[in-house]
Parts: sequence; structure tokens; C-alpha cells
Amino acid sequence: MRDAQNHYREGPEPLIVNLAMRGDRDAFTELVRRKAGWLRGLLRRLSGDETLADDLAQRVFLKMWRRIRSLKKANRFGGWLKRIAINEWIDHQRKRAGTWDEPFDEALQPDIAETPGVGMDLDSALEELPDAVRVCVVLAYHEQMTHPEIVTATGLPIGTVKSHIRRGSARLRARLIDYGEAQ
Amino acid sequence: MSELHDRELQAFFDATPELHDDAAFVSETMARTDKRRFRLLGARVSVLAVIIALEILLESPIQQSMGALGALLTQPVITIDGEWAGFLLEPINSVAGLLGVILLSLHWIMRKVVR
Repeated sequence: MRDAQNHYREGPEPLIVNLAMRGDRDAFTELVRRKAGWLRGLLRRLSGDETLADDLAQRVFLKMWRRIRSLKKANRFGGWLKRIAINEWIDHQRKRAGTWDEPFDEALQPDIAETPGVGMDLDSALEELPDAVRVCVVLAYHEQMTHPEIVTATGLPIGTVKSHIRRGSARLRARLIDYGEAQ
Repeated sequence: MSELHDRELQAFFDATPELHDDAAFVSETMARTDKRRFRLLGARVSVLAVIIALEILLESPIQQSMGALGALLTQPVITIDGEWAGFLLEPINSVAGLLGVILLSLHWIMRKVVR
């Protein structure tokens, strides 16, 4: 039993994905083990809520289990899982608020000068961003995705993605870097 | 990476500690997946049982209905005495043929009306 577990732990990802696609439960468990940290981290960045992020991550793994047979190539597993995760978060936001890609309105953003005092951490600063802006910024910085990749993952137009990243970065910079330097 | 990428901001993202202790999360996820798997299996078995039961209960009535429908559709509309005439008109001299002619006529009339 222990040997079998070690075998899975040492196996290359495409092999494990192929086994999971054939219904191998141990291979599926291994994929969950390998991807859990990354997925929970991404969803925590997106949601700003640990409990919600873990619940969403479990839902993503359930979808992965249901759909893994439809995956065409095992080496595309990472991108495929990432798209499921992003869609899961977007669907959650849509159900909660009715929308997720509302336009970025500077006037609605909290004024930095109104909240002086303790320096802000990254998660709190991200939480202040509108959903669509946050997702673009997180995918660009946390996931190191290119603009075309973000367009594919979110369905937003390229101009909107660039604008969201520029404005979101400026907002985060003001919160995290400029404010800290001003202290 | 693009010209929009802020390196100082990237440092904040890179400094985030990774989550390591995933054991509890993994076992919880697998328990949830197994629960869903058994529920799905139960639902499939139930549906299969219902289909088999319906098949057993309705086998005779369905076969009878299909037989009666087949007999009705092949019933000649008019009796033709001539052997050759009967053979040539056989495709349209039936309830099914009559229904086909009626549907084609309706289709033709509709096309004319719409034009």
C-alpha cells in the first residue's frame, strides 16, 4: 500500500492525469494532493476569505472528478483546472451579486486618505478592488498569466483586461507601496 | 510580463507564504467526492431499476400498440381489383400513404400561402 502511494507521489503528472482519466481513485487523490495548495492559494487571493476559498476549491475538485474524462490531452491539465477554478469563482460572484464585471468606478473606491493608520496587507487591498479588476490583477501577478491568457480565461475583452490591470495595479500600489513610503 | 507589470507589486505577491499542510483538506475533499460518487451511483441504480420495472410492466401493452399501429398504417384505403393497378398504387393506397399525401399537400399549401 505504502509502495503504491510512493509510486503515485513520484509519478509524472501526465501519467497520473491519464490514470485519473481512467477512473483511478488513487491517481485522483494524488492530483488533489498536488494541486490543493496552489488552488486554495489562488481562490484565497480571489475571494479574500479562507473558508469560502476552501469550499470553492472542493467544488472545483468535484467538477474535476466529474469532467476529467472529457480532458483531451493530459499535458493540458493545469490550464484546464485553472479555467474550472476561475469559472467557479466567477459563477459564485455572479450568484451572490448578480454580476461580476461591473465597470471600474474610481469615485466608488475608498479614499486612501480616509483610512490612515495601519499599513494594509495584500489580501485586504485586493478585497477593495471590484471583482473583475481583482481577477485580472490576481491572474497577472499571482498566476503570471499573459493578457491573452487572461482574456481566454475570463472572457473579457483585451482592452478591458489591460485597463483593469493598469487601474488595479495603481490602486494596489497606492495602498501597499506609496502609502508605506509616505509613513 | 508586460510593460503594465509593476515589479514592486510583484514582490508582494511573491512574498505570500505557500499553503503546505493540505492533508486535512485532501481527506475532506476525497470524503466529499466519495459521497457524491456513491450518491450518483445510487441514483443510476435507481433509474435503471425503474426502467427495468417499466419494461417488464409495459412490454406487452407496448408490443400490442406497435402491432396495432403497424396494421392500421398498412391498411388499404380503397380496394383495387386489378393486380397491376393494386401493385402500382400500393405505396399511396394505405393509411400511411394517405397521411403522407395530406402532410405533403399541407406543406405545399403553406409554402404557397407564405409566399
